[in-house]
Amino acid sequence: MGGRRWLTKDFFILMTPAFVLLLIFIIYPLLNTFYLSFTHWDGMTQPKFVGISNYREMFHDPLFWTSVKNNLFIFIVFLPLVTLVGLGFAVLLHNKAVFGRNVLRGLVMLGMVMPMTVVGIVWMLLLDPHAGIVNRILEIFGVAPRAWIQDPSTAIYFVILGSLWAWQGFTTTVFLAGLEGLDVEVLEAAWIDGANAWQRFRYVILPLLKPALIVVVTMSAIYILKVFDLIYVLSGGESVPMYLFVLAYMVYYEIFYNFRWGYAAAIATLLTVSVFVFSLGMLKRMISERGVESG
Amino acid sequence: MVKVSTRYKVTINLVAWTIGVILFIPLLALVMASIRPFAEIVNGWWNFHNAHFTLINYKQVWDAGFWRYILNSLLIATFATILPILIAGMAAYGFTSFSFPVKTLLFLTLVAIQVVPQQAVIVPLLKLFRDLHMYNQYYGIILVHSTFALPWTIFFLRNFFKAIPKDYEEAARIDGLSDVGIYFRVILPIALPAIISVAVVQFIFVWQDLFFALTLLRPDKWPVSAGVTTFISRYNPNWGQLTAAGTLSIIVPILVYVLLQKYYMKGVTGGIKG
Repeated sequence: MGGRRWLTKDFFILMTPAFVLLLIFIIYPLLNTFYLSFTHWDGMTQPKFVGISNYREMFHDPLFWTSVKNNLFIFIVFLPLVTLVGLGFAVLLHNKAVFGRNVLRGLVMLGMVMPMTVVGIVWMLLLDPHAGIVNRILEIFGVAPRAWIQDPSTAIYFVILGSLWAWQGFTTTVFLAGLEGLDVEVLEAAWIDGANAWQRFRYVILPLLKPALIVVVTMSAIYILKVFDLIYVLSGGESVPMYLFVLAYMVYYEIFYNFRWGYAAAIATLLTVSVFVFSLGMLKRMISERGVESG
Repeated sequence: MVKVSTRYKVTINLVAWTIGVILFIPLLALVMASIRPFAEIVNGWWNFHNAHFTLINYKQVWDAGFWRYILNSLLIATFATILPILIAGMAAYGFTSFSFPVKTLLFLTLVAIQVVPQQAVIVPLLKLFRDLHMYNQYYGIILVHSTFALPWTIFFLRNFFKAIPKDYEEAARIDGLSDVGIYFRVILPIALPAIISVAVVQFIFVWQDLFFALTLLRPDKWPVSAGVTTFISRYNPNWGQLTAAGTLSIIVPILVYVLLQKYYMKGVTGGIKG
């Protein structure tokens, strides 16, 4: 394919709209954010170039460090959890001995298709000290009821639980698709060779699931680095308590509460760079697998 | 080929369905709390002793203007689904049927900007929106959502287009159709399943978005994702209204998902088999 004359009217009719939009609404603002991160700007007057002043300020900003700490904690707990849960559910839902697998697959995705703000409301209700079922269940096991969300030391678990409930639908589905794509003959060969269930899983299935694993880990990392909605719902119309800040919320906060748009741009730049770093593996794979030249 | 024991079957079903029930509890809680009076919810929505059911919460939420948020969501999500599919489909077809000098560069750019977070563009975007009078306009947020959908949509459709036999195109060309004509009359109809997949994923995604809604629109134009937060109060939550608003917010995406589940799954997993 390819090789056709491209300097034609039709070619430009097909390509122009997409790339004009990308230029105006993503590429230009992305580069501009990077530039603005080196300025002081209130959003109204002219931006003033100040070098790396914003980045230096971050290091002395307790709010920034709280956000980084929260982002890191959520990330470290969430990423292995959502990967393992997804893998476990997928193996379970792939098992032909399970009845009603289609219904279960539908249930897994429930949290994935609703707005995260509603997921937030649901988990506020579930974790409520009075009206919440989580405390009632824990009581059975002898754990005293507590105000999980209102308590600064446990509020972060609300974010992890809500994200987990919503996002395991994605990881489960991707692993399921990976399992369904496995070569049955390879599995049967392993079976005949006398490999037990664990050996089959560890040495045959897991290596074949590597592409799915890369997608799951990368997309989950990006998802949780950008966590915002579940933090926002806790604000109740005001600003979120400081101990719950994350980087994505801080960008919003610096724009709309402090009017420090240059500083917000610097934090946004940092967030973007971290997202890119975690995406590199997957992006490289997409490029090499799908091929640039093949069109 | 392998015999499984009854005990194994019972155990694995028990485990699977216990997990299923646990995953369903949050949704059950949402709906149950929304149809019961406040006095009963604080004693637990699962408590059926002396249970009463009411639609008063829905009436209050509806009268408080919640229907507006639903209309806003429908409007924004519908147009922010149709527009990027049209535009991405054209570009994807351009990618599959032409070779051109900067193709590699464009391709790499597309791959990279797939992961750009919304926060990465918001500061300049706010200024741009003010200068172009796009702030608090439906078409403003629709254009932004459409643009953010383009990179992955172009990929998804390109992969599908590549699998279409060239013979169809050649035949149409001999019949005298232009490239644009071939795209609309030959390629699009064949690609309908892929387009439905993209549409379902994008529609649900836009319905969920909070960040662009909060930053690019005022409350009167907010979609449900943002509108529902206006019922939250940090210290005295009115669970009835809150859960009624939440339930109203998820009816459309859940309906879309249930009706088009097969296409949604294909769209979500499209990234790993291409």
